[in-house]
Amino acid sequence: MTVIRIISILLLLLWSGPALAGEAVLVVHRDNPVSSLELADVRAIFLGKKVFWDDGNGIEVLLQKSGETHQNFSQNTLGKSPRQLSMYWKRILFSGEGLPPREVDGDDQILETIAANVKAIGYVDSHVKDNRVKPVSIIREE
Amino acid sequence: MKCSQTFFMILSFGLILQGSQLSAWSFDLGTKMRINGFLSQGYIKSQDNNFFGESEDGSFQINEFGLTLNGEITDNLRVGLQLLSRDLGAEGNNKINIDWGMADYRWRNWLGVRLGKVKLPIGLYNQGRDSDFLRPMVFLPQSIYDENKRTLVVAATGGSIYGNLAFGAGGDLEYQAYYGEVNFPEDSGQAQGMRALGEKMAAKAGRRVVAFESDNRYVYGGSLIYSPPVEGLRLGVSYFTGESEFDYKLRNRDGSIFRAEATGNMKDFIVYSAEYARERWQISAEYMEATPDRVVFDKDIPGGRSQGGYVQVAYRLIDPVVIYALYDVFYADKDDRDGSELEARGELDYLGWRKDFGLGLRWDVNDSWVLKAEWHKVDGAALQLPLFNPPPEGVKRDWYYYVLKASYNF
Repeated sequence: MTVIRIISILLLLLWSGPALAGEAVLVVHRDNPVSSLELADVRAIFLGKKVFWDDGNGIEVLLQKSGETHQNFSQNTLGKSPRQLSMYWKRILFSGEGLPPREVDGDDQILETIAANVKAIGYVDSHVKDNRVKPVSIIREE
Repeated sequence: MKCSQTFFMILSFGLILQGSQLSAWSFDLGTKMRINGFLSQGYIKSQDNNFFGESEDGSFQINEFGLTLNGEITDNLRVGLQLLSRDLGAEGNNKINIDWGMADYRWRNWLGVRLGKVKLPIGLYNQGRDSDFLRPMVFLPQSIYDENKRTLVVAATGGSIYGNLAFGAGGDLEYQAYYGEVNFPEDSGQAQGMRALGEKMAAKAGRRVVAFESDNRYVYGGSLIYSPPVEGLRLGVSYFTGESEFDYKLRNRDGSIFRAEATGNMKDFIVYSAEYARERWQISAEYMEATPDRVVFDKDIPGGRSQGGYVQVAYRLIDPVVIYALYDVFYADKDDRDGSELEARGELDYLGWRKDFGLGLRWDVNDSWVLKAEWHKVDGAALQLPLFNPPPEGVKRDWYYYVLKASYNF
Protein backbone atom coordinates (compact mmCIF):
# COMPACT_ATOMS: atom_id res chain seq x y z
CA MET A 1 0.00 0.00 0.00
CA THR A 2 2.80 2.36 1.00
CA VAL A 3 4.71 1.44 -2.20
CA ILE A 4 1.67 2.33 -4.35
CA ARG A 5 1.37 5.66 -2.51
CA ILE A 6 5.06 6.46 -3.11
CA ILE A 7 4.81 5.51 -6.80
CA SER A 8 1.68 7.67 -7.16
CA ILE A 9 3.47 10.65 -5.61
CA LEU A 10 6.52 10.10 -7.83
CA LEU A 11 4.33 9.88 -10.94
CA LEU A 12 2.52 13.03 -9.91
CA LEU A 13 5.83 14.84 -9.41
CA LEU A 14 7.13 13.63 -12.78
CA TRP A 15 3.95 14.77 -14.48
CA SER A 16 3.85 18.22 -12.93
CA GLY A 17 7.57 18.80 -12.51
CA PRO A 18 8.73 20.00 -15.91
CA ALA A 19 5.81 22.33 -16.59
CA LEU A 20 3.61 23.70 -13.85
CA ALA A 21 0.27 25.18 -14.86
CA GLY A 22 0.64 28.83 -15.84
CA GLU A 23 4.37 28.57 -16.49
CA ALA A 24 5.21 30.67 -19.52
CA VAL A 25 7.16 29.74 -22.60
CA LEU A 26 8.38 32.27 -25.12
CA VAL A 27 7.12 31.75 -28.69
CA VAL A 28 7.81 33.20 -32.14
CA HIS A 29 6.57 32.45 -35.67
CA ARG A 30 7.86 29.09 -36.91
CA ASP A 31 9.71 30.87 -39.77
CA ASN A 32 11.53 33.18 -37.36
CA PRO A 33 15.20 32.05 -37.33
CA VAL A 34 15.52 32.75 -33.59
CA SER A 35 15.39 29.67 -31.37
CA SER A 36 17.08 30.95 -28.20
CA LEU A 37 17.63 34.33 -26.53
CA GLU A 38 19.76 35.53 -23.64
CA LEU A 39 17.70 36.61 -20.63
CA ALA A 40 19.09 40.16 -21.01
CA ASP A 41 17.77 40.26 -24.60
CA VAL A 42 14.33 38.98 -23.56
CA ARG A 43 14.10 41.74 -20.96
CA ALA A 44 15.36 44.35 -23.44
CA ILE A 45 12.70 43.25 -25.95
CA PHE A 46 9.79 43.28 -23.49
CA LEU A 47 10.92 46.62 -21.99
CA GLY A 48 11.23 48.33 -25.38
CA LYS A 49 15.00 48.72 -25.28
CA LYS A 50 15.65 46.29 -28.14
CA VAL A 51 13.14 46.98 -30.90
CA PHE A 52 14.74 45.32 -33.94
CA TRP A 53 15.56 41.69 -34.70
CA ASP A 54 19.12 41.08 -35.83
CA ASP A 55 17.92 41.08 -39.48
CA GLY A 56 16.71 44.69 -39.04
CA ASN A 57 12.98 43.96 -38.91
CA GLY A 58 10.98 45.59 -36.12
CA ILE A 59 9.95 43.32 -33.25
CA GLU A 60 6.22 43.18 -32.54
CA VAL A 61 5.92 42.44 -28.83
CA LEU A 62 2.74 40.91 -27.45
CA LEU A 63 1.70 40.92 -23.81
CA GLN A 64 -1.16 39.01 -22.23
CA LYS A 65 -3.67 41.26 -20.48
CA SER A 66 -3.81 39.22 -17.29
CA GLY A 67 -3.78 35.66 -15.97
CA GLU A 68 -1.39 33.25 -14.37
CA THR A 69 0.86 32.93 -17.44
CA HIS A 70 1.24 36.69 -17.60
CA GLN A 71 1.92 36.88 -13.87
CA ASN A 72 4.63 34.22 -14.13
CA PHE A 73 6.27 35.67 -17.22
CA SER A 74 6.29 39.18 -15.82
CA GLN A 75 7.64 38.16 -12.42
CA ASN A 76 9.97 35.29 -13.27
CA THR A 77 11.36 36.41 -16.61
CA LEU A 78 11.14 40.21 -16.56
CA GLY A 79 11.69 40.55 -12.81
CA LYS A 80 8.73 42.93 -12.40
CA SER A 81 5.26 42.40 -10.97
CA PRO A 82 2.46 42.86 -13.54
CA ARG A 83 1.65 46.21 -11.85
CA GLN A 84 5.28 47.37 -12.12
CA LEU A 85 5.39 46.27 -15.76
CA SER A 86 2.18 48.15 -16.53
CA MET A 87 3.49 51.29 -14.78
CA TYR A 88 6.82 50.99 -16.66
CA TRP A 89 4.99 51.11 -19.99
CA LYS A 90 2.64 53.90 -18.91
CA ARG A 91 5.69 56.01 -18.07
CA ILE A 92 7.02 55.47 -21.60
CA LEU A 93 3.63 56.08 -23.21
CA PHE A 94 2.70 59.29 -21.41
CA SER A 95 6.17 60.83 -21.63
CA GLY A 96 6.16 60.39 -25.41
CA GLU A 97 9.07 57.96 -25.48
CA GLY A 98 7.27 55.10 -27.16
CA LEU A 99 4.27 52.82 -27.48
CA PRO A 100 3.54 49.94 -25.12
CA PRO A 101 3.26 46.45 -26.62
CA ARG A 102 -0.13 45.27 -27.80
CA GLU A 103 -2.09 43.47 -25.09
CA VAL A 104 -4.12 40.44 -26.10
CA ASP A 105 -6.49 38.03 -24.34
CA GLY A 106 -4.84 34.76 -23.51
CA ASP A 107 -2.90 32.05 -25.34
CA ASP A 108 -5.24 31.66 -28.34
CA GLN A 109 -4.92 35.29 -29.39
CA ILE A 110 -1.15 35.19 -28.91
CA LEU A 111 -0.94 32.12 -31.16
CA GLU A 112 -3.16 33.61 -33.84
CA THR A 113 -1.32 36.92 -33.91
CA ILE A 114 2.09 35.27 -34.08
CA ALA A 115 0.91 32.79 -36.74
CA ALA A 116 0.04 35.83 -38.90
CA ASN A 117 3.18 37.87 -38.14
CA VAL A 118 6.71 36.56 -38.56
CA LYS A 119 8.09 39.55 -36.59
CA ALA A 120 6.03 38.92 -33.45
CA ILE A 121 7.05 37.48 -30.10
CA GLY A 122 4.89 36.50 -27.14
CA TYR A 123 4.47 33.91 -24.41
CA VAL A 124 1.95 31.17 -23.76
CA ASP A 125 1.32 28.51 -21.15
CA SER A 126 4.01 25.86 -21.49
CA HIS A 127 1.39 23.13 -22.03
CA VAL A 128 0.17 24.74 -25.22
CA LYS A 129 1.38 23.05 -28.40
CA ASP A 130 0.80 24.63 -31.80
CA ASN A 131 2.91 23.98 -34.90
CA ARG A 132 2.36 27.51 -36.27
CA VAL A 133 4.73 28.80 -33.60
CA LYS A 134 7.96 27.57 -32.10
CA PRO A 135 9.26 27.86 -28.56
CA VAL A 136 12.30 30.03 -27.83
CA SER A 137 14.54 28.92 -25.00
CA ILE A 138 15.84 31.53 -22.60
CA ILE A 139 19.53 31.33 -21.75
CA ARG A 140 19.90 32.27 -18.11
CA GLU A 141 23.47 32.81 -16.95
CA GLU A 142 24.01 31.50 -13.48
CA MET B 1 -14.83 81.18 -16.77
CA LYS B 2 -12.44 78.90 -14.96
CA CYS B 3 -15.23 76.69 -13.67
CA SER B 4 -16.77 76.39 -17.11
CA GLN B 5 -13.40 75.49 -18.64
CA THR B 6 -12.86 72.79 -16.05
CA PHE B 7 -16.40 71.55 -16.55
CA PHE B 8 -15.85 71.42 -20.32
CA MET B 9 -12.66 69.44 -19.85
CA ILE B 10 -14.32 66.93 -17.52
CA LEU B 11 -17.29 66.60 -19.86
CA SER B 12 -15.01 65.99 -22.87
CA PHE B 13 -13.11 63.35 -21.00
CA GLY B 14 -16.33 61.77 -19.81
CA LEU B 15 -17.49 61.43 -23.40
CA ILE B 16 -14.16 59.97 -24.47
CA LEU B 17 -14.23 57.46 -21.62
CA GLN B 18 -17.81 56.56 -22.47
CA GLY B 19 -16.85 56.01 -26.11
CA SER B 20 -13.79 53.99 -25.23
CA GLN B 21 -15.73 51.75 -22.84
CA LEU B 22 -13.07 52.46 -20.24
CA SER B 23 -10.30 50.73 -22.12
CA ALA B 24 -7.45 51.69 -24.42
CA TRP B 25 -8.29 52.12 -28.09
CA SER B 26 -6.52 50.41 -30.86
CA PHE B 27 -7.48 51.02 -34.47
CA ASP B 28 -6.16 49.44 -37.60
CA LEU B 29 -6.44 52.25 -40.11
CA GLY B 30 -3.57 51.18 -42.33
CA THR B 31 -1.47 52.84 -39.67
CA LYS B 32 -1.81 51.74 -36.06
CA MET B 33 -3.29 54.46 -33.93
CA ARG B 34 -3.86 54.66 -30.21
CA ILE B 35 -5.65 57.09 -27.96
CA ASN B 36 -4.93 57.21 -24.23
CA GLY B 37 -5.47 59.78 -21.55
CA PHE B 38 -5.59 60.69 -17.91
CA LEU B 39 -7.27 63.03 -15.51
CA SER B 40 -6.57 63.86 -11.91
CA GLN B 41 -8.02 66.15 -9.29
CA GLY B 42 -6.50 67.04 -5.97
CA TYR B 43 -7.09 69.08 -2.86
CA ILE B 44 -4.26 70.94 -1.13
CA LYS B 45 -4.36 72.59 2.29
CA SER B 46 -1.45 74.27 3.98
CA GLN B 47 -0.79 75.88 7.32
CA ASP B 48 1.37 79.00 7.96
CA ASN B 49 2.31 79.56 4.30
CA ASN B 50 0.56 79.43 0.96
CA PHE B 51 2.04 76.86 -1.40
CA PHE B 52 0.94 77.41 -5.04
CA GLY B 53 -2.09 79.65 -4.78
CA GLU B 54 -4.40 80.17 -1.83
CA SER B 55 -3.68 76.83 -0.22
CA GLU B 56 -4.04 78.07 3.37
CA ASP B 57 -7.79 78.25 2.72
CA GLY B 58 -7.73 74.83 1.06
CA SER B 59 -7.64 74.68 -2.74
CA PHE B 60 -8.90 72.42 -5.51
CA GLN B 61 -6.65 74.22 -8.01
CA ILE B 62 -4.46 71.18 -8.47
CA ASN B 63 -5.39 68.99 -11.43
CA GLU B 64 -4.17 67.54 -14.72
CA PHE B 65 -5.99 66.36 -17.83
CA GLY B 66 -4.10 64.74 -20.68
CA LEU B 67 -5.06 63.24 -24.01
CA THR B 68 -2.43 61.21 -25.85
CA LEU B 69 -2.51 60.27 -29.53
CA ASN B 70 0.01 57.95 -31.16
CA GLY B 71 0.30 56.66 -34.68
CA GLU B 72 2.76 53.96 -35.73
CA ILE B 73 3.47 54.66 -39.39
CA THR B 74 6.17 52.04 -39.97
CA ASP B 75 8.45 49.84 -37.82
CA ASN B 76 10.78 52.86 -37.61
CA LEU B 77 8.47 55.86 -37.57
CA ARG B 78 5.94 57.00 -34.97
CA VAL B 79 4.13 60.28 -34.63
CA GLY B 80 2.57 61.35 -31.36
CA LEU B 81 0.98 64.22 -29.50
CA GLN B 82 -0.13 64.83 -25.94
CA LEU B 83 -2.53 67.64 -25.06
CA LEU B 84 -2.31 68.75 -21.47
CA SER B 85 -4.48 70.99 -19.37
CA ARG B 86 -3.33 71.60 -15.83
CA ASP B 87 -3.88 73.86 -12.89
CA LEU B 88 -1.61 74.51 -9.95
CA GLY B 89 -2.66 77.60 -8.04
CA ALA B 90 -2.08 80.66 -10.23
CA GLU B 91 -0.29 78.59 -12.89
CA GLY B 92 -1.90 76.73 -15.75
CA ASN B 93 -5.57 77.62 -15.21
CA ASN B 94 -6.58 74.64 -17.35
CA LYS B 95 -5.50 76.19 -20.62
CA ILE B 96 -4.88 73.42 -23.14
CA ASN B 97 -1.28 73.12 -24.31
CA ILE B 98 0.73 70.70 -26.37
CA ASP B 99 2.72 68.86 -23.71
CA TRP B 100 4.75 66.99 -26.29
CA GLY B 101 4.29 66.39 -30.01
CA MET B 102 6.84 64.79 -32.27
CA ALA B 103 7.92 62.53 -35.07
CA ASP B 104 10.09 59.75 -33.68
CA TYR B 105 12.35 57.86 -36.08
CA ARG B 106 14.11 54.83 -34.61
CA TRP B 107 16.88 53.78 -36.97
CA ARG B 108 18.61 51.15 -34.86
CA ASN B 109 18.35 49.95 -31.26
CA TRP B 110 21.23 52.31 -30.48
CA LEU B 111 20.02 55.37 -32.41
CA GLY B 112 16.75 57.22 -32.82
CA VAL B 113 15.82 60.84 -33.56
CA ARG B 114 12.85 62.83 -32.27
CA LEU B 115 11.81 66.11 -33.86
CA GLY B 116 9.15 68.45 -32.50
CA LYS B 117 8.31 69.25 -28.91
CA VAL B 118 10.17 66.69 -26.81
CA LYS B 119 10.12 66.00 -23.07
CA LEU B 120 13.45 66.60 -21.36
CA PRO B 121 15.21 63.81 -19.48
CA ILE B 122 16.28 65.39 -16.18
CA GLY B 123 16.77 63.05 -13.25
CA LEU B 124 14.79 59.82 -13.38
CA TYR B 125 11.29 61.30 -13.27
CA ASN B 126 11.11 64.59 -15.22
CA GLN B 127 9.63 63.11 -18.37
CA GLY B 128 6.69 61.62 -16.48
CA ARG B 129 6.13 64.60 -14.17
CA ASP B 130 2.80 65.68 -15.68
CA SER B 131 0.89 62.46 -15.02
CA ASP B 132 -0.10 62.00 -11.40
CA PHE B 133 -0.14 58.18 -11.44
CA LEU B 134 3.47 58.08 -12.72
CA ARG B 135 4.73 60.03 -9.70
CA PRO B 136 5.13 58.15 -6.42
CA MET B 137 3.75 61.02 -4.31
CA VAL B 138 1.55 63.92 -5.50
CA PHE B 139 4.55 66.27 -5.80
CA LEU B 140 7.90 65.06 -7.01
CA PRO B 141 10.71 66.11 -4.62
CA GLN B 142 10.94 69.87 -5.08
CA SER B 143 14.72 70.12 -4.69
CA ILE B 144 15.08 68.62 -8.17
CA TYR B 145 11.59 68.87 -9.69
CA ASP B 146 10.73 72.42 -8.55
CA GLU B 147 7.24 73.20 -9.87
CA ASN B 148 8.22 76.88 -10.32
CA LYS B 149 10.85 75.89 -12.88
CA ARG B 150 8.62 73.37 -14.62
CA THR B 151 8.04 75.38 -17.83
CA LEU B 152 11.77 75.80 -18.39
CA VAL B 153 12.68 72.16 -17.90
CA VAL B 154 9.65 70.08 -18.90
CA ALA B 155 9.83 70.08 -22.72
CA ALA B 156 11.47 71.96 -25.58
CA THR B 157 10.68 72.53 -29.24
CA GLY B 158 13.65 71.22 -31.15
CA GLY B 159 14.95 67.71 -31.24
CA SER B 160 16.74 64.91 -29.53
CA ILE B 161 18.77 61.82 -30.30
CA TYR B 162 18.48 58.73 -28.15
CA GLY B 163 19.20 55.04 -28.05
CA ASN B 164 20.06 51.99 -26.03
CA LEU B 165 23.50 50.42 -25.84
CA ALA B 166 23.36 46.80 -24.69
CA PHE B 167 26.38 45.22 -23.02
CA GLY B 168 24.93 41.70 -22.66
CA ALA B 169 25.61 40.50 -19.15
CA GLY B 170 27.06 43.94 -18.33
CA GLY B 171 23.65 45.62 -18.41
CA ASP B 172 22.55 48.43 -20.71
CA LEU B 173 22.86 52.18 -21.10
CA GLU B 174 20.08 54.51 -22.27
CA TYR B 175 21.20 57.88 -23.57
CA GLN B 176 19.43 61.04 -24.75
CA ALA B 177 20.74 64.42 -25.90
CA TYR B 178 18.55 67.39 -26.88
CA TYR B 179 18.57 70.98 -28.08
CA GLY B 180 15.58 73.29 -28.34
CA GLU B 181 13.65 76.31 -27.27
CA VAL B 182 11.01 76.81 -24.59
CA ASN B 183 8.16 79.30 -24.59
CA PHE B 184 7.10 80.47 -21.15
CA PRO B 185 3.53 81.32 -20.47
CA GLU B 186 3.37 84.60 -18.52
CA ASP B 187 1.75 82.82 -15.56
CA SER B 188 4.60 80.32 -15.20
CA GLY B 189 6.59 80.30 -11.99
CA GLN B 190 9.73 81.09 -13.96
CA ALA B 191 8.27 84.24 -15.59
CA GLN B 192 6.50 85.31 -12.38
CA GLY B 193 9.73 84.95 -10.40
CA MET B 194 11.69 87.13 -12.85
CA ARG B 195 8.88 89.71 -12.98
CA ALA B 196 8.85 89.89 -9.16
CA LEU B 197 12.62 90.29 -9.11
CA GLY B 198 12.41 93.11 -11.66
CA GLU B 199 9.65 94.80 -9.67
CA LYS B 200 11.73 94.64 -6.51
CA MET B 201 14.79 96.13 -8.20
CA ALA B 202 12.75 98.81 -9.98
CA ALA B 203 11.03 99.84 -6.73
CA LYS B 204 14.41 100.52 -5.13
CA ALA B 205 15.03 103.11 -7.85
CA GLY B 206 11.52 104.51 -7.52
CA ARG B 207 10.30 102.89 -10.75
CA ARG B 208 7.40 100.61 -11.60
CA VAL B 209 7.17 97.69 -14.02
CA VAL B 210 4.29 98.40 -16.41
CA ALA B 211 4.87 95.62 -18.95
CA PHE B 212 6.83 92.39 -18.99
CA GLU B 213 7.71 89.77 -21.60
CA SER B 214 9.74 86.60 -21.38
CA ASP B 215 11.50 84.69 -24.11
CA ASN B 216 13.63 81.60 -23.87
CA ARG B 217 16.65 81.51 -26.16
CA TYR B 218 17.72 77.89 -25.89
CA VAL B 219 18.01 74.82 -23.71
CA TYR B 220 20.31 71.86 -24.24
CA GLY B 221 21.42 68.84 -22.30
CA GLY B 222 21.34 65.09 -22.04
CA SER B 223 21.03 62.09 -19.79
CA LEU B 224 22.57 58.65 -19.27
CA ILE B 225 20.76 55.89 -17.41
CA TYR B 226 22.68 52.71 -16.71
CA SER B 227 20.87 49.52 -15.71
CA PRO B 228 23.62 47.27 -14.32
CA PRO B 229 23.14 43.50 -14.05
CA VAL B 230 21.74 43.94 -10.55
CA GLU B 231 18.01 43.39 -10.58
CA GLY B 232 16.02 46.53 -9.74
CA LEU B 233 18.95 48.98 -9.85
CA ARG B 234 19.14 52.09 -12.09
CA LEU B 235 21.85 54.73 -12.00
CA GLY B 236 21.64 58.01 -13.86
CA VAL B 237 23.27 61.32 -14.54
CA SER B 238 21.72 64.22 -16.43
CA TYR B 239 22.79 67.70 -17.49
CA PHE B 240 20.77 70.78 -18.48
CA THR B 241 21.58 74.38 -19.40
CA GLY B 242 19.12 77.04 -20.52
CA GLU B 243 19.18 80.76 -21.16
CA SER B 244 16.19 83.11 -21.18
CA GLU B 245 15.67 86.81 -21.82
CA PHE B 246 13.16 89.10 -20.17
CA ASP B 247 12.00 92.53 -21.34
CA TYR B 248 10.51 95.07 -18.95
CA LYS B 249 8.87 98.40 -19.53
CA LEU B 250 9.57 100.65 -16.55
CA ARG B 251 7.89 103.91 -15.57
CA ASN B 252 9.96 106.60 -13.87
CA ARG B 253 8.52 108.87 -11.18
CA ASP B 254 8.15 111.63 -13.80
CA GLY B 255 5.97 109.32 -15.91
CA SER B 256 8.54 108.65 -18.63
CA ILE B 257 8.77 105.05 -19.80
CA PHE B 258 11.86 103.14 -20.84
CA ARG B 259 12.83 99.57 -21.59
CA ALA B 260 15.17 97.40 -19.59
CA GLU B 261 16.35 93.83 -19.94
CA ALA B 262 17.23 90.85 -17.82
CA THR B 263 18.68 87.44 -18.51
CA GLY B 264 18.03 84.38 -16.40
CA ASN B 265 20.20 81.37 -17.02
CA MET B 266 19.87 77.96 -15.50
CA LYS B 267 23.44 76.84 -15.93
CA ASP B 268 25.01 73.45 -15.43
CA PHE B 269 21.97 71.86 -13.79
CA ILE B 270 23.35 68.41 -13.03
CA VAL B 271 21.48 65.53 -11.38
CA TYR B 272 22.89 62.22 -10.14
CA SER B 273 20.26 59.53 -9.60
CA ALA B 274 19.92 56.07 -8.09
CA GLU B 275 16.88 53.86 -7.76
CA TYR B 276 16.74 50.39 -6.26
CA ALA B 277 13.56 48.34 -6.29
CA ARG B 278 13.37 44.97 -4.57
CA GLU B 279 10.20 43.06 -3.74
CA ARG B 280 8.31 45.29 -1.30
CA TRP B 281 10.90 48.08 -1.11
CA GLN B 282 11.92 50.86 -3.41
CA ILE B 283 14.56 53.43 -2.54
CA SER B 284 15.21 56.47 -4.74
CA ALA B 285 17.87 59.10 -4.13
CA GLU B 286 18.92 62.01 -6.31
CA TYR B 287 21.38 64.86 -5.90
CA MET B 288 21.48 68.14 -7.84
CA GLU B 289 23.45 71.31 -8.32
CA ALA B 290 22.58 74.27 -10.56
CA THR B 291 23.58 77.88 -11.06
CA PRO B 292 20.71 80.35 -11.45
CA ASP B 293 22.82 82.97 -13.16
CA ARG B 294 20.66 86.12 -13.34
CA VAL B 295 21.43 89.63 -14.55
CA VAL B 296 18.62 92.16 -14.02
CA PHE B 297 18.96 95.72 -15.41
CA ASP B 298 22.73 95.19 -15.85
CA LYS B 299 23.17 94.09 -12.22
CA ASP B 300 24.29 90.60 -11.25
CA ILE B 301 21.90 89.03 -8.77
CA PRO B 302 23.94 87.33 -6.06
CA GLY B 303 22.98 83.69 -6.05
CA GLY B 304 25.83 81.23 -6.05
CA ARG B 305 25.31 77.58 -6.89
CA SER B 306 22.21 75.86 -5.54
CA GLN B 307 22.33 72.35 -4.17
CA GLY B 308 19.72 69.79 -3.24
CA GLY B 309 18.70 66.20 -3.02
CA TYR B 310 16.36 63.71 -1.50
CA VAL B 311 15.90 60.16 -0.30
CA GLN B 312 12.52 58.53 -0.79
CA VAL B 313 11.66 55.13 0.62
CA ALA B 314 8.59 53.24 -0.53
CA TYR B 315 7.23 50.12 1.15
CA ARG B 316 4.40 48.02 -0.27
CA LEU B 317 2.13 47.18 2.66
CA ILE B 318 -0.24 44.97 0.69
CA ASP B 319 -0.26 44.60 -3.08
CA PRO B 320 -2.11 47.78 -4.09
CA VAL B 321 -1.08 49.99 -1.14
CA VAL B 322 2.34 51.65 -0.86
CA ILE B 323 3.51 53.98 1.92
CA TYR B 324 6.20 56.60 1.35
CA ALA B 325 8.66 58.56 3.45
CA LEU B 326 10.55 61.46 1.91
CA TYR B 327 13.32 63.72 3.08
CA ASP B 328 14.04 66.46 0.56
CA VAL B 329 16.53 69.31 1.03
CA PHE B 330 17.31 72.36 -1.10
CA TYR B 331 19.85 75.14 -0.50
CA ALA B 332 19.64 78.25 -2.69
CA ASP B 333 23.41 78.73 -2.32
CA LYS B 334 25.57 75.79 -1.29
CA ASP B 335 28.14 78.20 0.17
CA ASP B 336 25.50 79.94 2.29
CA ARG B 337 23.47 77.04 3.69
CA ASP B 338 22.55 78.89 6.89
CA GLY B 339 21.44 81.99 4.96
CA SER B 340 23.85 84.30 6.79
CA GLU B 341 24.86 86.08 3.58
CA LEU B 342 21.20 86.55 2.70
CA GLU B 343 20.61 88.00 6.15
CA ALA B 344 23.57 90.35 5.71
CA ARG B 345 21.87 91.66 2.54
CA GLY B 346 18.72 92.39 4.53
CA GLU B 347 16.82 89.26 3.44
CA LEU B 348 15.32 86.50 5.58
CA ASP B 349 17.92 83.82 6.22
CA TYR B 350 15.38 81.00 5.78
CA LEU B 351 14.87 81.96 2.13
CA GLY B 352 18.18 80.12 1.74
CA TRP B 353 16.87 76.61 2.41
CA ARG B 354 13.88 74.27 2.21
CA LYS B 355 13.80 70.98 4.14
CA ASP B 356 10.69 68.91 3.45
CA PHE B 357 9.81 65.82 5.43
CA GLY B 358 6.85 63.99 3.94
CA LEU B 359 4.79 60.86 4.60
CA GLY B 360 2.40 59.53 2.00
CA LEU B 361 0.12 56.70 1.02
CA ARG B 362 -0.73 55.54 -2.48
CA TRP B 363 -3.51 53.10 -3.29
CA ASP B 364 -3.65 51.68 -6.82
CA VAL B 365 -7.32 50.75 -6.69
CA ASN B 366 -7.05 49.02 -10.07
CA ASP B 367 -5.12 49.47 -13.32
CA SER B 368 -6.85 52.81 -13.96
CA TRP B 369 -7.55 54.46 -10.61
CA VAL B 370 -4.99 55.77 -8.11
CA LEU B 371 -5.73 57.50 -4.80
CA LYS B 372 -3.07 59.38 -2.82
CA ALA B 373 -2.85 61.14 0.52
CA GLU B 374 0.23 62.80 2.00
CA TRP B 375 1.42 65.18 4.66
CA HIS B 376 4.55 67.36 4.70
CA LYS B 377 6.35 69.38 7.32
CA VAL B 378 8.66 72.03 5.87
CA ASP B 379 11.45 74.11 7.39
CA GLY B 380 12.50 77.04 5.20
CA ALA B 381 11.05 79.10 2.38
CA ALA B 382 13.44 78.77 -0.58
CA LEU B 383 12.14 78.00 -4.10
CA GLN B 384 10.06 81.14 -4.64
CA LEU B 385 7.77 80.75 -1.63
CA PRO B 386 7.55 84.58 -1.13
CA LEU B 387 5.69 84.67 -4.50
CA PHE B 388 2.68 83.06 -2.82
CA ASN B 389 3.10 84.88 0.50
CA PRO B 390 3.43 88.59 -0.19
CA PRO B 391 3.55 91.23 2.56
CA PRO B 392 2.06 92.17 4.94
CA GLU B 393 1.60 88.53 6.04
CA GLY B 394 4.90 87.55 4.48
CA VAL B 395 6.54 84.17 4.41
CA LYS B 396 7.15 82.04 7.52
CA ARG B 397 9.92 79.57 8.26
CA ASP B 398 8.01 76.53 9.56
CA TRP B 399 4.94 75.38 7.71
CA TYR B 400 2.90 72.31 6.74
CA TYR B 401 0.84 71.07 3.86
CA TYR B 402 -1.24 68.04 3.02
CA VAL B 403 -2.60 66.86 -0.32
CA LEU B 404 -5.30 64.42 -1.39
CA LYS B 405 -5.52 63.35 -5.00
CA ALA B 406 -7.43 60.95 -7.24
CA SER B 407 -6.37 60.11 -10.77
CA TYR B 408 -7.67 58.02 -13.61
CA ASN B 409 -5.89 56.84 -16.74
CA PHE B 410 -6.89 54.79 -19.75
